[in-house]
Amino acid sequence: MDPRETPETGSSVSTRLEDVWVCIVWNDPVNLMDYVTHVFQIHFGWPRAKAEKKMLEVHERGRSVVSSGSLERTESDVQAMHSFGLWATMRRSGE
Amino acid sequence: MRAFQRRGEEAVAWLDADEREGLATVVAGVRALTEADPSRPEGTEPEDDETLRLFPNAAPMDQTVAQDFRQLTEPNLRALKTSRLDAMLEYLTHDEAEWIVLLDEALSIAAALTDVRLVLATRLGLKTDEDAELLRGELEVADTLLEGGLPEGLDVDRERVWFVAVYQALTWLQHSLVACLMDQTGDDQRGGGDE
Repeated sequence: MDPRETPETGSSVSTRLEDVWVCIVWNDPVNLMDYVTHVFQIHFGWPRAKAEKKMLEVHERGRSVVSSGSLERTESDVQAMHSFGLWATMRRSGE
Repeated sequence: MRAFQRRGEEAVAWLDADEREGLATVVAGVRALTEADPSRPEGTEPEDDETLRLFPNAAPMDQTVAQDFRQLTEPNLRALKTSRLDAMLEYLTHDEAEWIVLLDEALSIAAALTDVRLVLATRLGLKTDEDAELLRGELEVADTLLEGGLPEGLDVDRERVWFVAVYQALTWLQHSLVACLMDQTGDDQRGGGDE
């Protein structure tokens, strides 16, 4: 988590919930299941079982939160997903 | 056309001259979409659905974040996608039937195959998993057409059927290429060695 460099007056915690972002991968009919699993393994460094579980969540539930963190980190994850042709979006964790 | 098969540290497929020429045309069209569009102001969304699928909106609920993301990432994403498609075109436009992909480069090629399939799927109106199933039915028509067996006078959108055939061929190629990559992971777990 990124501590805020200039916390607002009255804020006692360095990282508030709204500063946490999540990267969501959405289901689409084009991306192959094995490919998505492999991309998750390579990009996030997950073992095969976790990557498969997340891939199935995307496929069966329509979407899955694949990472959370600072704005910068989440942007970089979304960018990586887009580079592989996966449909990914980001939003603040509290929304 | 032969799908990718593992050969040592490479994945090898085989396409005849007509198949390579047909695919090269489609890939070149997609490559054009990955190039910068001077008429579109930086940070704004592409107007056509095909380009938008390659560079989707990263934050549909928050226009400012979406715009910042686009400004920040799109130039790099464009360059990456273009270079991956170029690697595909290099094979497709050379007079060589064997398509040799080093396993180290296989994920890049699989990503380029994805981009081409995303554009074709958008063109074909493929939006749900059910649409993908329906496409399989169209493929049978495509096969008959490609073999020249479709009766004269039958009302078929030949361009669409051709795109369906290309889409399915690319799906098959990508599937086999990813299988080679997964196979490699399996090797690592077993401690290596070819069968």
